[in-house]
Amino acid sequence: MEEYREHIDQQLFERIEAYLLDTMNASERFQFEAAMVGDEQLRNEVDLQRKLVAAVQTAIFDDKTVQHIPAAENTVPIRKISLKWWYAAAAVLLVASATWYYQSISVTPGKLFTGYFHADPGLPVAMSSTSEYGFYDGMVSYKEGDYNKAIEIWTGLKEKGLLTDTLQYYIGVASLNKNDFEGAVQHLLPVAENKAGEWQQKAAWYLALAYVKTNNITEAMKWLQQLEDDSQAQLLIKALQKLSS
Amino acid sequence: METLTNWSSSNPEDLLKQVYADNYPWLENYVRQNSGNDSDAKDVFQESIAAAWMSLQQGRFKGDKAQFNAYLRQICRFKWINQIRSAARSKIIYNDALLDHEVANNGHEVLKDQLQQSGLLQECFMQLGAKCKQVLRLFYYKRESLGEIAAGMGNTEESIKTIKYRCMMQLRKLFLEQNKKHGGV
Repeated sequence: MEEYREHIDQQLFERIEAYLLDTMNASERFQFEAAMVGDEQLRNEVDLQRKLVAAVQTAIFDDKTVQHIPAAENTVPIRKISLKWWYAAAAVLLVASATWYYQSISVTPGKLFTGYFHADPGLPVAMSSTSEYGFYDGMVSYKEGDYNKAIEIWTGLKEKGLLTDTLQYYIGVASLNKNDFEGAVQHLLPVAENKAGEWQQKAAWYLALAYVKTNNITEAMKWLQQLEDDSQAQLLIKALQKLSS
Repeated sequence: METLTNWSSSNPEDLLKQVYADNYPWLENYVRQNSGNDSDAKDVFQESIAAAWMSLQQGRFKGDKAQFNAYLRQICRFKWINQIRSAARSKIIYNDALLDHEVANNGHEVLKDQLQQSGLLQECFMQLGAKCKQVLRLFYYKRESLGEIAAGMGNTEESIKTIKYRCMMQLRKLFLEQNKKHGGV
């Protein structure tokens, strides 16, 4: 089956648009979402239309003929990409496409991990809160990408007995971000096992990814199956099933 | 917590202006400190915001405004580091303590993919005719109603609706063709 429909008529286009712009009533929305469950092409079309709308919205930064961003544009005029960067980008794209083609011939757990992993962006930093200063100090390092420092700060708090699910979760994802999968599992597992915890679902997702990366598919599946409402998790389950078959 | 994820009910123009104001001065400073100039910063911002925004719309990024800004800056840094490397500016002086971590981070394949997809989409949008660009921008970016757009362009609502549909289909076709050429889809 093709990934996308050959033709989208105006009525379907407007239904997808109404879904994306949230102008459907509750009943229409329910019906549309029910239709998506059993229709992969429709789900793909919805995602594609999201991308197209996003491109229209951000093209404002790419077109010097448009004057729609007064506050920003007055201070910094927007210009188009110079030709040399298009050449450079085309070359990079060519190499990336060729690499992708050769790599995509066989799917491996490592490739699935790369495709599905998206680092947790961290929490907003509230430095004024003195009681949690240590935690947010670590969060600043985390957001800067200095995961070793973040872990060092947070581990210090843990040793002082300030262990919380939040702390444990972020030590886990920081470990994952720096490819320390053993450390990630060690810290994410107790959080994922705490069914009542605020971070349970996210911990289960990243724990599953750590297991995927280390080729422990059985454990990965076990945690992914707990994320019934997460479409990414369900897609990853299907991909892992294909891999095992 | 100020959320950006419920984007459909927010005005994208206001959000994007705010994101620009929050991040562009930082990026300009960052690029200047790392062997670039203001013109480089503009290119990097344009490509990075397109990738980050697409991720937000697709639900791949979830978080509040501060997290989105941090995410956008991560993409900007990644984009700039790659750009200066691919340009073979061997004598470049890095003033970025994050560089080693950036390079080691395994999530970069995902960033590359996002930048590639959003770059293609931007390229396709630029190939549309002026009227298409105007209608789509007024509807999706400015969030003007069909009636307002029709009045402003001296047309009927029904015509604007049809123009919008045709233009989006044209954009869809261009993107799918380009994406296929580049190995996607």
